Amino acid sequence: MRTILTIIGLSIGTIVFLIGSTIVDSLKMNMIEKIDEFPDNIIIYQDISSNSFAYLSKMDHNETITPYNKVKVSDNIFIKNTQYIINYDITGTSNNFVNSGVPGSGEIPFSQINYLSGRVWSKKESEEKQLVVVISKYTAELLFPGKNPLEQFLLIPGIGRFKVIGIVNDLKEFAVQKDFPTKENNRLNLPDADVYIPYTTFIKIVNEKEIDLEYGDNIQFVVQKNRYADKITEAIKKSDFQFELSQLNNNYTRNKILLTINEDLQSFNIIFVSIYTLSIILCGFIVMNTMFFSIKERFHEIGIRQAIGANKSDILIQFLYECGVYNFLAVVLGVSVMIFLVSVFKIVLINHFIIYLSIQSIFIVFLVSFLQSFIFGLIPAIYATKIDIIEALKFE
Amino acid sequence: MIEIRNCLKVYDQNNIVLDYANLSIKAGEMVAIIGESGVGKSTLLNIIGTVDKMDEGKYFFDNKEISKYKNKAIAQFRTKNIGFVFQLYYLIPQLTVYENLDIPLNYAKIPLKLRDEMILNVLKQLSVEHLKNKNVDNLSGGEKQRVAIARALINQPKVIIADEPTGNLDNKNTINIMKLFHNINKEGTTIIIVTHDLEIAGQCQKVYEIINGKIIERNLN
Ligand SMILES: Nc1ncnc2c1ncn2[C@@H]1O[C@H](COP(=O)(O)OP(=O)(O)OP(=O)(O)O)[C@@H](O)[C@H]1O
Ligand SMILES: [Mg+2]
Repeated sequence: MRTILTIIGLSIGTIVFLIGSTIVDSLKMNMIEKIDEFPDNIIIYQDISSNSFAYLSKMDHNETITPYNKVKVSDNIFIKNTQYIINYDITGTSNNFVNSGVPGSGEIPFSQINYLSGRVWSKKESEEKQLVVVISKYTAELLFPGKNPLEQFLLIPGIGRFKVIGIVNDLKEFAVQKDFPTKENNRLNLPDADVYIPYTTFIKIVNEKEIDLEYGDNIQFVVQKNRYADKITEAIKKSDFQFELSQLNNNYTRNKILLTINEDLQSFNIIFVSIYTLSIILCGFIVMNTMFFSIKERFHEIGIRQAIGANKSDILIQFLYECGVYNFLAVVLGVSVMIFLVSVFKIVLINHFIIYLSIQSIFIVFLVSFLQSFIFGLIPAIYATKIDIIEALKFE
Repeated sequence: MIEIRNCLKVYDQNNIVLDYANLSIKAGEMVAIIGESGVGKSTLLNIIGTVDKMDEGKYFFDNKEISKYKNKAIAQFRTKNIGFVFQLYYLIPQLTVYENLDIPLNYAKIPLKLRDEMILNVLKQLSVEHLKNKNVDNLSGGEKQRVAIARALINQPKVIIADEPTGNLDNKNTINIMKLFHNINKEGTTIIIVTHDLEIAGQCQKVYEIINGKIIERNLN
């Protein structure tokens, strides 16, 4: 009976730790999930002088750059009864990079391309070949006059709906400012309409649809209200990290936010680790107490065992082993309860909150309980070996 | 085989239990130790069984001086050579008969493969096979003592020492247990029994009495 209570006590210690670590890990996962939808705000422009392409890179420019593909698209659109003919480039991009083909870029010494608003696609979006698009300011003004183009859709018949996720400055403005003559076309002084889509998405379109992307005329762009448009904004508002979206666009990068979150969770972690440590010590004394009781109770048995051949190390091992078994059972019980709780919460909170019970913390729990049973079991076990066999063999 | 020379055992500085006593037991003998209560019979038996130590004197077993051994060597010696039988049986509670017999084999590091056969043999020898899977707490006194003797025998010790083995048994069981001891003794195991029952002592080849710290041989006839 006492043993059972001890095991329950120990498993509560385990559960306390697992709940703590699960909360920390889950918060982290949820934050990261949300942050993955944030812009990677700083776009570094790399000049690869050997060819005429400009590269917009996302944070990490150590990654290999997949060769880009470039397609020219022209179309007519009508805005306020005026017909505009636009030639713009769809440029393919690698997973984490925008490879931007810019007219006349061979001659233009670009140094930086700025994200005006929105973001570049996330790694996930790129890997999953989602239809997301980054457009230039000029493109945005043309296609979404007077509206916030972010979270709107570009519908290209026969290809798909592309969600606008970011807006960059017009590269041609830069060229014009610098007095570089631009390509002769019908837009005269107007900047190019640049459209950037992920390379992976681009490859998918080309391969699967085998579409000749030399579009001529009459591609219609339909602007639709995105029903998810405010989702991210809401998510951010709900989360513990209160900041203005505009502030986010200006001052935060994904990495910066991750760092902040990690710092915040770190202090959280410290609290849980100290609670856990306390509970381990407490449980340790419970273990010791139970062991001492058990040894007292079996005082006699220890004498008998020695008389029938046990030496001191046999006795020591026996009690350490017993202690280890208690602890092991307690941890198994605790972990099972946690797994059960987590699966229940997963069902209840589905789509609202990611619950994450990490293998790591389960491993830690097993390791700690092993050490605990050794450290706190050792003293009683040594005490058991010190019992005088004659005393123990006397009848009670 | 057993040779105790000038054994001094003193408790509490002035309670001289064994006063430079001598005892010599030959291999294959069945010996009784008698004496009044508190005279030191159990103490002597414990010294022979190496669970107790004398304050002065020498203990030879098969001409080896055990009294010089260190603790670990003594434990090893004990496992190999001595089987204990107690008045209150001292089986390990909550375990089955089989498990109780397995424990000394485990301590003696007998390979698992051999154990089953050894246990069955000894159970057969003591006619308690049918109790094999019974919990020892549910046995009668006579059955418990048989199992205890089986446990003492299982590592095939040279000596069995029994402290009042029939002290808690009725007449019929006492006769049976003594029969068992005779059979075991016939197969060559030395047996030392502490008793205050002169009838039991009378069944032994030799009888020693402890008086005033000395061990004196007695002829009961
Ligand atoms: N651990 C001890 N500390 C002090 N005195 C002890 C101890 N063990 C035994 N004695 C004393 O030694 C003496 C002999 O004890 P022992 O148990 O050997 O007697 P015994 O002959 O077996 O008696 P009984 O027939 O009652 O079992 C007794 O006076 C007892 O009080
Ligand atoms: Mg006694």
